[in-house]
Amino acid sequence: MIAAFIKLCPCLSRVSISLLFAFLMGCELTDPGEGTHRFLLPWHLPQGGYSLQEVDVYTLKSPLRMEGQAAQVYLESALGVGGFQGSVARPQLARVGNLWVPEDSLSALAVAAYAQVEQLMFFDQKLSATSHLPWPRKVGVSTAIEGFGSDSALYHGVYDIIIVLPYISSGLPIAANAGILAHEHSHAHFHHLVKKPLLEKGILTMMSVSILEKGEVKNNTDLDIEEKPTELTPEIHNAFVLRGWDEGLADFFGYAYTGDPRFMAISFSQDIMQSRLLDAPIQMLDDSLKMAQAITRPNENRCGGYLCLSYHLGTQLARFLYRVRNHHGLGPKALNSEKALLAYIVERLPELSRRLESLWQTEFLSPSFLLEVLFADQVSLSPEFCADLQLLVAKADIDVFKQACGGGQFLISSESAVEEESL
Amino acid sequence: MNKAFLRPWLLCGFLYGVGFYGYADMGEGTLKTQNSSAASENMKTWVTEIHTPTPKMEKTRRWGLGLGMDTRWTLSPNGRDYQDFLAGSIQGHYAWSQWQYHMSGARYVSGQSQTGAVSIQSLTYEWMNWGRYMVWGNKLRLFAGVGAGLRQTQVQTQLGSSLVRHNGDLTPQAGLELGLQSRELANLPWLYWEGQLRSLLSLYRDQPTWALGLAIGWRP
Repeated sequence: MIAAFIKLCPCLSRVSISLLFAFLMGCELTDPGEGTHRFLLPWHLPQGGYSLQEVDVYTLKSPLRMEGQAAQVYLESALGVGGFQGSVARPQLARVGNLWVPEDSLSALAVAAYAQVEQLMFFDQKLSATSHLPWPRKVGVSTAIEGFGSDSALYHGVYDIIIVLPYISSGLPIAANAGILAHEHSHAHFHHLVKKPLLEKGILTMMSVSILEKGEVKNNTDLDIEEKPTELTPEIHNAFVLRGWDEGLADFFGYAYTGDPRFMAISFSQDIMQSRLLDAPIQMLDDSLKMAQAITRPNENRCGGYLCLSYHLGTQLARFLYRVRNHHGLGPKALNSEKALLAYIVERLPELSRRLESLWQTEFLSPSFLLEVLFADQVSLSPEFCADLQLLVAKADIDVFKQACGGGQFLISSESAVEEESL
Repeated sequence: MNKAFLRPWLLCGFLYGVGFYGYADMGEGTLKTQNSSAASENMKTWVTEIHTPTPKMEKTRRWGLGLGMDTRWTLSPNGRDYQDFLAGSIQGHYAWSQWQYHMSGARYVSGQSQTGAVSIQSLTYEWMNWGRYMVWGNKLRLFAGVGAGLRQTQVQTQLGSSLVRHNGDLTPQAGLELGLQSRELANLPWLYWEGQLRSLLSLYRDQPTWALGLAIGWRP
């Protein structure tokens, strides 16, 4: 039988070689190019949670490379003192008809990150908030940064990139978490609208930036955020406050994008989840004096550290915005949805930056100063809004809202406010 | 992802022009050497397995198996072919060339990767046909080849309780190879070795995969 088979070989060989060259000459590798491409991805559900879904992506130059109008996604890149190093992700994909199926988990995350940033671009367009950001946005998936470990994400202002660290927990990987990517995307808005103008004018220094962005690679600054500020200057104080506003708005952005007030829970540990929920009771903010005391006495403050002061401020701010998102009659723009409220906030951020120009190096800013910039000059705030405002803003700072709150008639006594909160 | 896996081949010698083809690929991205039993009864082989490093954070496991028939037939200018070589009638210091046909089939590689709750298993089948141009020297044969065939990947994706299976389309695949083959060693005419570097580019895939193979075995 073997001999018979060998006798057939000359014919087989000639035929095969002919077919081989015909194949190589006539068939070139196909890149489907631009257009709408459908991928199987971990994707959020309208009712909350995630499942595997077929998701259309509209702006990729090619399904084989994660770059397009919305984003450039880098995979397993690195960030160090030499800067950002990486190349655009090329996912391994199997084609099933008109569906692209990732063949490994990192490929799935690289595509998911692109798809989420594309949706964020569409979201920004609805908010009319795309013009101040450079596009495509940059995202590093499973990017290593020395000393930063895993299971986290950050926005890096210098390189204008979202960095997603490697994920080793058992939950939803951060690169596929729509809310966390939206949170980091919000930092980009805040950077370009608030911090960057101040940096360009020399008002924000690198010392401040080190506080504002713990994710900053430590170059050009000697300040270690974990060191106790020996002398509290307005600049240091305000950096903690500004960081808190940035985090709070980012948490609200993540909620407004996903509709889920617990969007971090599916990726992070129980401890983090509890402290960052948006649908939880509000704690009153410190006034500027108490905030300054908390910064200078970290062991005595409510969380025993420096950076958590900023996060605590941010969480309370986000919880407040979550509570007031549906309050009708909030100013002339009828801010009666989370998206309308968010659009209004983004629109007002340049005003915040302008106001900070004159105050940054001279005043110890109140943690509620952001709300003053956003809402105090509104023609009229609703009674419900003012009641919630009183839950958040320290008594010493509430007077600036009197005019907007019906000349003060919507501001109830602090005892009543506490009683309402306890209910 | 974006990794050029170096896949070992296991060529298990030839018997009357028909060779038996084996394949093994296991591990988690480490450099290691393993012993492997041969697909043919009278062959013993050792395979060196090399992978590019697997990212620390991605739990990736790969393994593969292959079994098939390997027939080689030559077209040579002077009418002498591979059977002459097997018969030991080609001796001396001269160089000549030949074409060789090589078919491999039923090769499959399975991979599993997991990042958090996202877990993906893939199973890829490949069926390839190769044409080789060989230049024979005194002791070595240098060859370059082109190949074409088909590839299909089955993917199973899981996110929590959500599990989806897909059978990928049959996808054309082409490749290039470079290699060296022993003609014979002076006192060890039964010893055979071959090393090859292959690059495979599949339709809808803009980066090639690489295979580095080394096989040692007995020649009957």
